[in-house]
Amino acid sequence: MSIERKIILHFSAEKADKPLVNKLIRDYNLELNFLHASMENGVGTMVVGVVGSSEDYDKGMGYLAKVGVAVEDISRGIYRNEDRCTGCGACIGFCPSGAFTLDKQTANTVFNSNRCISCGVCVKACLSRCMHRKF
Amino acid sequence: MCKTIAEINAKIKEGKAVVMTAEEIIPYTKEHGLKNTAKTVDVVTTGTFGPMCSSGAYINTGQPKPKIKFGGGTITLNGVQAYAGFAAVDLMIGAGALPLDDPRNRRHPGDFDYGGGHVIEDLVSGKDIALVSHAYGTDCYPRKELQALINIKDLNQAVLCNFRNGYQNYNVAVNKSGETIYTYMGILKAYLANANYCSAGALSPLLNDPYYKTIGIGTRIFLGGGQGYIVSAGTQHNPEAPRTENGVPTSGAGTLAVTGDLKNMKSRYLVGTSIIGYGTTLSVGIGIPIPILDEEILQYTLVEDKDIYAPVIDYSEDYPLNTGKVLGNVSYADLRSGKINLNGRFIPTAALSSLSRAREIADELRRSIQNASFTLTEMLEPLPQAGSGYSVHGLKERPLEEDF
Ligand code: SF4
Ligand code: SF4
Repeated sequence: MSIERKIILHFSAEKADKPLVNKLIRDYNLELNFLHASMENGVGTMVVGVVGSSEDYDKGMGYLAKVGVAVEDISRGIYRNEDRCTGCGACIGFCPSGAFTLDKQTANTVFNSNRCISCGVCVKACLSRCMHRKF
Repeated sequence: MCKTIAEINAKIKEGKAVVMTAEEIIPYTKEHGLKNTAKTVDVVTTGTFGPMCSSGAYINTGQPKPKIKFGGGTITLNGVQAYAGFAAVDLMIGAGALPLDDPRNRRHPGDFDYGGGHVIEDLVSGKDIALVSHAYGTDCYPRKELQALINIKDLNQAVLCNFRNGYQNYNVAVNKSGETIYTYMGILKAYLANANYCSAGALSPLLNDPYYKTIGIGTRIFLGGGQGYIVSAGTQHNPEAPRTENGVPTSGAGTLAVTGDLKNMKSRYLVGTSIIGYGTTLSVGIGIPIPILDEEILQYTLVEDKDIYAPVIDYSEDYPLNTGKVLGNVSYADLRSGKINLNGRFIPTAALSSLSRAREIADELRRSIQNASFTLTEMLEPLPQAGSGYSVHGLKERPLEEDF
């Protein structure tokens, strides 16, 4: 069974040189989509979309646990209450990951949840408060 | 003049009026020419939807037994402070009003989850609202306290009453400083990292009638999903703002004061709005029909985003300190493209007003004119015009010591 997840990897700076990611792709046949990466005060963060078979996914996550990388699943992150969205587009300006785009034809603002890194900025910044965290 | 409003209304009643939105009229005129189009087309509809802070509502609740006088006491609706400075059971609520215990910006930026704009939205959508009033009691109005649920369907009157809406053009906001700022123009990131604007551009009512030739006092309009009227020029109405050759102001200019029966409105077009670090407001939908009386009036409705310029203003310093400095001018075509070029630097843009909903409003107004549920009105008086000397100015601050 193929699954799709979005995860945050938290790791210490020393691990940053390890070919963590290559290994996930090569040895566990996982398809990765990098959404965001940063390194601050010796702590690295990487937000990745992952696609693969559920077996490979579990093995890959097992590997990350073994090498001391903390994994946070944010797949069920943020959703939009479409009824309350006015389509203004203010979110295009404040979303750090470019998850909102303008559909030039309809002038509507599209929420591309696959690009969302669940930072939560939009939850308080959306003018009509239509962005929510899933629990 | 090729037609009168009375003639257009006669056509509307027969279901024969030709109505187009301010977007549709542009290609149509290019194809058929100015002269023919001015003859065939009767009405052009405009629309705008965005946060409009000087919006409010007044309501009359009806008297409970025994009677109460809100006036001079205090009153809250869903915890939000309303204004009790009138007669017995009249009250007013403004879009920016907050609950007394809202932390506001004590921890900056404040959330402003719920305020007057949200109360108005909830009221319109038919939800019960909790009213709490404390009064001082008189011989004729003995009651000192009232706690009750109210609902729009039971109120004697509920009237939207907005004294500055429909701004004719507006600033584009940026932030030159080194820190993110939270403004009524949204979140502005440091070092000019983004630019926010707020206008329906070429669909915007007053940009399609820049000299207020057909839009005036008494004009019937689409307001919040129902029908309303223009009661006067809005506060800070400034017809003397600089204009380009086609009459389009290059900065904020005309404004409208509007009113209408809340009972006929829809919450889709009156949306309670929270602006982080700034406060609450109400996003209001307004649509205004422009009767095509002659070629000149038609010509004005052909304005396009590329012809409308807005000033780029720094909201970290120049706006709050009122320096009057403009960093540059950009067109709405640029703003809508997703980025502007400010002195050689590309800045991504975002809107606080919704173009999709402005289009929906212009469309809806077109349909209601076509099916004769909306007819046009003659204005009773024009708005103050360019050249009339009517203008807007700052406050000349006189210290209290002088008078006391
Ligand atoms: S800011 Fe909120 S209301 Fe506006 S388009 Fe984005 S999600 Fe929709
Ligand atoms: S949580 Fe909201 S602001 Fe953050 S990345 Fe996702 S969509 Fe963008």
